[in-house]
Amino acid sequence: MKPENKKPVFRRKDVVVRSTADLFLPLACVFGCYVVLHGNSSPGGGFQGGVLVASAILLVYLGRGRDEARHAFRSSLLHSSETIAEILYVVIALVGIFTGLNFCVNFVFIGQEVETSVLMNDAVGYHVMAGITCLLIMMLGVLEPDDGEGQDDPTGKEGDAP
Amino acid sequence: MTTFLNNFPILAIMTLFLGAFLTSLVGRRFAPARNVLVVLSVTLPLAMMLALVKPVLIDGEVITYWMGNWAPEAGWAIGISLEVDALSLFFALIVTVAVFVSALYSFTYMNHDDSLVNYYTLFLMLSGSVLGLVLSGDLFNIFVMIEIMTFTSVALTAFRNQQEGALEGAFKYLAVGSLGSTCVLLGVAMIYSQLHTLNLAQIAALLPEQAENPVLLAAFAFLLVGFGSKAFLFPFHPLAADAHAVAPASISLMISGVLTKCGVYGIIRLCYVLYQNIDLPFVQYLVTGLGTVSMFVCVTMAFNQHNFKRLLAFHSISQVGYVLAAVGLGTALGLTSGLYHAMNHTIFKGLLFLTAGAVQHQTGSLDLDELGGLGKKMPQTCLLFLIGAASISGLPPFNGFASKWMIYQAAFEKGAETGNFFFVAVCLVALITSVLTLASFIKVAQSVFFGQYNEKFGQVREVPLAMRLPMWILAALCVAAGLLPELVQRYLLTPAVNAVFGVANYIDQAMGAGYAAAHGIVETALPELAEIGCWDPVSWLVLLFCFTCAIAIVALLATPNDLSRVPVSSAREDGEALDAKYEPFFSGEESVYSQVGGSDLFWGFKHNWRRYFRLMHDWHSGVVNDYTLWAVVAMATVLAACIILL
Amino acid sequence: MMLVNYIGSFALVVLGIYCMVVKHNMIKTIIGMGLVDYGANLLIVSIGFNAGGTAPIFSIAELDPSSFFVDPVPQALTLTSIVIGACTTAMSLSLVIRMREQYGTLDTRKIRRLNG
Repeated sequence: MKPENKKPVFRRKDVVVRSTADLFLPLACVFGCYVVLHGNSSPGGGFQGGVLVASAILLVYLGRGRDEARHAFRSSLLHSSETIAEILYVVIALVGIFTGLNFCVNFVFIGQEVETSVLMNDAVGYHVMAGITCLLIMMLGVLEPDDGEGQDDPTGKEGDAP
Repeated sequence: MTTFLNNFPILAIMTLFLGAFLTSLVGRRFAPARNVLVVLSVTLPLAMMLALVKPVLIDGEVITYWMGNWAPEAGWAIGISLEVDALSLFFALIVTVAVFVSALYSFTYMNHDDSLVNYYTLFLMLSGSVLGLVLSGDLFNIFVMIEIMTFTSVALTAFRNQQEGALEGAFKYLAVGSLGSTCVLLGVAMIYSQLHTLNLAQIAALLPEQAENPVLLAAFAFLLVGFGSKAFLFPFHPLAADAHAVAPASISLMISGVLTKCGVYGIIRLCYVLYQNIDLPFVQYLVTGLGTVSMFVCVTMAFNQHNFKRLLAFHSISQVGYVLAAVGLGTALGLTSGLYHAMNHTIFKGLLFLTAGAVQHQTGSLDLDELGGLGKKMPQTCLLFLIGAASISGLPPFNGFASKWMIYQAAFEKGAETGNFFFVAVCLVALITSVLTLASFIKVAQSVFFGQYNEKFGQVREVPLAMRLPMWILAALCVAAGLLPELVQRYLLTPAVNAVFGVANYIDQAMGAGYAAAHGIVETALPELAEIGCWDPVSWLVLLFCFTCAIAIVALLATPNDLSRVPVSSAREDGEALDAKYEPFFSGEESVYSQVGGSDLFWGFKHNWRRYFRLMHDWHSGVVNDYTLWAVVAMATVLAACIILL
Repeated sequence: MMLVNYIGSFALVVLGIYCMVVKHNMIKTIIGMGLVDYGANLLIVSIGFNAGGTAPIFSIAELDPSSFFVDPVPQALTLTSIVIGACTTAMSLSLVIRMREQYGTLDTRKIRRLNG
C-alpha cells in the first residue's frame, strides 16, 4: 500500500454544485413519487417515476462525491427492496386468482376510476427505484476500481412493463 | 372441466418467477431454505403441467386464459392471454421436465461455486420465461419472454466468470442474440402495423386474408430469422458452441434442451398456425434447407473440437437441424417425427451434457486430449454416456433411433410423393449426418472413457448419487421413449400434431365460436398418419444383434495372416521400437500420451476433407463482428427471398 | 408524413448493424446494439401514430366514440422494449468491464479464445 500513489478521492469543493444538488434532491424525490402515484391517470407511471427517484443518487454523487454517495445508500437494503417489490407485484396479481377471479384482475375499487393497476404501478415504481439505484451504485463503484469491488451481474432483469 | 384448472398455466409461470424472487430474498442467508424453495418452485410447475395432460392432450381442449378477464369484445382481442393447446403443453412438458432435472443436478454440481443465490434466481427466471413463452397467446409477450430468456441465459453463461472464455462466450451470445431479438421485435411491430392485434389466435384468423401483403411477408422473414436465432440455426450456431463450452453443465442442458426448443416452437407456430403457409413449396425449401444445412455443417464442425462440451454443443445444433428439417416438410408424418425428435433431443442431449458435467466436476477438465480412461473410475457415468451416445447416434433400442427413422421416412415419402429430389437429398444428408454423429461419439468415448488414464488427475471417483440420479432419470426416459414409440405417439405427438393442423379450433376457442369461419379459416380434416411398425425398435435391435454376431463370427474365424504387417508411417530408418500410437489408422502425429488422441481417431477422414475443415475453421473465427456479419447476411437473404419468392 | 420516421428508423438500424459488423471496439459494438434498438423503437412508435390524435389518456367518463387519439399499444410496447434495451446495454457493459480486466484489451479481434 503506497498512499502517495493512490489517486486523491474525487470530491466536489464547489459550493454552487453542492448547494444546487442539495436543493434539487428533495424536488427530484417528490416529483418522482408524484409521477409514480399519479401514473394511472396521467403520462408517466411506475417506471418513469422510479427512474426519477433513482436519479437522486446521481445528485448526491455530483454534489458530495462518490464516498458519500456510497455511504448514503445501503446496497443490500436496496437489493432486498427490489425483490420485495417484485414479490409484491406478483402477489397483487395473484390475489385475483384466489378470490375466484382471474390473474391480474381488478379486485379493489371495482366500479371506480382507479383500480388495481394503481397498486401494481406503485410496486413497479418501487422496484424500478430500488433496481436503478442499485445499478447506479454498482456503476459508481466501478468508476474507481481501487476500493470498489467491480461487481458483476447487475441482474438486468425486467419482469413486467407498466 | 373445473375452472381452477384454467389457472394452472399462469400459476406455473408465476411459481417459477415468485420462486426466483423469494430465493433471492431469503436464500442469501439460509442455504437449506433456498434449496427447499428451488425444489418447490420446479416441482409445482411440473405437477401442474402433468395435471393439464388429461384435459388438453387427451380430451383435446384448448385452455384460453384472459388476464384480468379482458375477454375479446366485438371481435377484437383487447387483453393479454395465455392459450394452451396440445402443442404448447407438449413443449411445456419438455421444459418442465428439463428444468426439474437440471435443478436436481445443480445442487451437487454447483457446490464448488459461490454466490449460488444469483445462480438459482437466474435459473428460475430462465425457466419461468421459457414456460411463459410456450404457453403465451400473445405475440408481444413472446418477445418479452425471449428477451428475459436471453438475458438470464447470458448471465448464467458468464456465471463462472473466472473461467477462461466465459465472459467472451457470454458477450458474443448477447451481441448476436440481441440482433435476433430485434428481428423478432421488428416482425411483431410489422404484424401489428398491418393487423392491429397481437393475439396469436386473431392474427392467425386475419393473416391469410392478406397473404400477399409485402409488409407481412417481411414480418414473416424477420420472425423466422429471430426464432431461428433462438434455436441457433445455421448462421447462428457458433454462439451456441461458445456459450455451451463455458456455461455450467446444468445450464448447457437448459440452453440445448429448452432454449432451442423455444425457437423450434416459434417456427412451428409461425409457419403452421400464424401464416399457415407451410404448404407453399418455398417455405418448405427454406425451413427444411436451413435444418439440413445446420445438421450437416454442425456435425462436421464437431470433428474438429477438442473441448468435450463444445463438441456436444455442435451436435446439439445438428440435432435441432433434424427437427427443423422434419418440421419443414409440412406433412403430418414430418411434424410428428420433428416433435418426437425435439423431445428426444432434450432427453439425450441433456444426458450427454450432464455426463460431461460429471466428468468436469470430478476431474476439473473438459479437454478431450487430456482426459482418458475414466471408464474404470466412473463406470456409471461411462454407462450413462454410452446410453446417451447410442441415442443421439440413432442406435435401435434407444429413442434417437425411432425418431430419426421417422424423419428419414417422412423425408423420403415427401420426396416420393412430390417427385422432388430435394427431399430425397434431405433424407440422404440426414443418414450421412447420423453416421458422422456415431463416428464423432466413438471418438469422444475413446478419448474420455477408454484409452489410457491420465495420472495427472489423481484418484478420480464416481460422482455422488445426487448427480447420478438426474442422469439415470434421463437415461430411463431415453429407453422408455425408444421402446414405446406407439404410446408416445398416441398420447403426446398425435394430439400436438392435431392441434397444429386444427387452426380453426385454436382460433374459435380464443375469439369465440364462428370467428374462424367468418374469416375464411375452415376446419380441415385431421391428417391420417401411416401405420406404425416399420420403425419398431425391437425388431431392428434383433436385426442389429444378428448382424453383429455374424460379423463377430466371421472376424473370429478368419485367419490373422496380415495382422503382423508393419505400419507404414512407423517404419523408421533407425529401427526404433514400434508403438501403437504411430499406426496410420490411429494417428498422424505424435501425441503426449500413448492413448489415441481424441482428434486423431479419424485422421484419414479429416485429411481427405482438409480443405473443407480448414475453411470451416477459418470461418468460425471467434470474432464477434464476423458472427454478426453472418447473422446480417442470413437476415438479408431470408428477407429478400421471402419478399421476392412468396 | 411518417415517412421521415420510417426512413429514420431504417437508417438507425442500418447504422447500428454497420457499427456492429465493422467496428472492432467492443464499446462501439454495444453502441451499435443500442442503435439497432432505437431504430426498432422509433419504428414502433411511428406505427401507432395518428396524425392529429391526442394523448391516449382518458377516464371512463370522458371516453366517447368521437375521441381521436394515437394508438396506445405501440407506446406500451416501445416502453417495454426501451427498458429491455437499457438492460441489454447495462449487461453488456458489465461484461465488457470484466473482459477488459481479463484480456487487457477491448479489441474484438484479440478476444477470440473460443474459435474453430
